[in-house]
Amino acid sequence: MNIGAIYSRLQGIQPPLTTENPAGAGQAAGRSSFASFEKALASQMTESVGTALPAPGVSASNPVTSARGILGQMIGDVQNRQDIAKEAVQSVLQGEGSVHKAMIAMEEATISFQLLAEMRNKVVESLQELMRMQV
Amino acid sequence: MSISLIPGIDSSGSALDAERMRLNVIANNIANANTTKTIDGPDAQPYRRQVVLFESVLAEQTNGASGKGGSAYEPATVHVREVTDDSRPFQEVYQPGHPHANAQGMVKMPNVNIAEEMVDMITASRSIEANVQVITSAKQMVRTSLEIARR
Repeated sequence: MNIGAIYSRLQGIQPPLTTENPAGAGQAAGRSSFASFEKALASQMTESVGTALPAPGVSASNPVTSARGILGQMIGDVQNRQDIAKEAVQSVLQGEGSVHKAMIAMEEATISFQLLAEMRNKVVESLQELMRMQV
Repeated sequence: MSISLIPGIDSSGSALDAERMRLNVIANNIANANTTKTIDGPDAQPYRRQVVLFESVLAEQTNGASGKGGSAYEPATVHVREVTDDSRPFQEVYQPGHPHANAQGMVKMPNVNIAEEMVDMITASRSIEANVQVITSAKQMVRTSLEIARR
């Protein structure tokens, strides 16, 4: 999975502006443009993220198509990795596991969580940018 | 187990496992370098030096390798195949007062050469350091990629 490609795509997402209601229906236009923006974001995220991170419970024949679903999938992945890290540390304390396996598991959990945080920041920032466009 | 986020960590993690097993075997060899009888009994042998054999395990080849050009690169992991005995003959030392001496006063000592074991130990520890350096660099690479999104 190429994290750099994902972020360049997230940066390049432009929220589509509706030009059909130029006056008066600012809030409705904002909501509808946010819905279409959410679809565009979700399609780009599905393309670059959805198939690269197979989280448990989601099969390839049932692709997640909403941004909220993809974030939920990533949260499941973060939870999964943190559980693995916790088990690895416990096995080291019981004397059966190797230290470097626990270290690697902890590092993967940390990076996965940071990735989730960055995605959340991007979505929130795009939403704020969109909300600022209402006149 | 899900796909790892850090590139190359499967290979390096498996190498750390394998070298750790090798260090265990080296420690066992050095500790038993003077063991003249492994178990009690008339036909017991001295401790025989043990050797670790590694093998490379390729990941499952995908279908992309058959028809299309540019097949996907599948990283290989290191795996300890077996821990076998070194077949070199035992060293014989003349010690007539030893309880395990035979009729000629010769005692069979293990075929462990301490200098050889020390060199193997240095090799294993340097290999561990190199693999940890690979993991550190890969981790740093991923962290830098995450900074693309930050202002």
